[in-house]
Amino acid sequence: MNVAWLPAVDPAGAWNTAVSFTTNTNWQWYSGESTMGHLVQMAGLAVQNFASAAIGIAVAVALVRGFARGQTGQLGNFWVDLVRIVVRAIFPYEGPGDTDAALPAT
Amino acid sequence: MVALAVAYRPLGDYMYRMYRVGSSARHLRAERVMYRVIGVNPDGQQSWVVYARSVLAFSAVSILFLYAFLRLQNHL
Repeated sequence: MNVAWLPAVDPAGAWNTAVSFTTNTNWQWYSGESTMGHLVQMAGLAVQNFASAAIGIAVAVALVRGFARGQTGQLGNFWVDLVRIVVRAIFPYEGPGDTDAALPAT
Repeated sequence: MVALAVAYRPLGDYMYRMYRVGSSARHLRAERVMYRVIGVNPDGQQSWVVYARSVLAFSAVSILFLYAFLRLQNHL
């Protein structure tokens, strides 16, 4: 997928980009098409555009739960929040006849 | 302002359903598949320590994965 035969990103630049996109800072010091191949852009950076945004929302929700709930130290489940935020908020998916409101209690 | 006035009730209900936890939570079929793949009990909860550890672990793994990805892109 690296059709342009781009070389590896140098260590400092790669670390900068890795930390930046994981923390949802998305700092783009490089000129996109001539530094990152298509595979890195699709399976690396674009994935982090979803994942890092979901992390931020999850932490905000956990903070609200911490304020709102008494008598418990439980804040929900990060992995469940992560999946739900990606599936329902950032990439709003609902299968046929499979909406949350319609689901029976289990 | 109008959009907010129109949306806050249905959107608020939607967000409530999305963020509720424990036994009142409902799970979509696609979500259940993902929980099974990553080995998570969807009705389990975490204390703040475990929640924070999960956030940091996921971020750390993401950073290392992305770093390796960028360093090795000439081999992919």
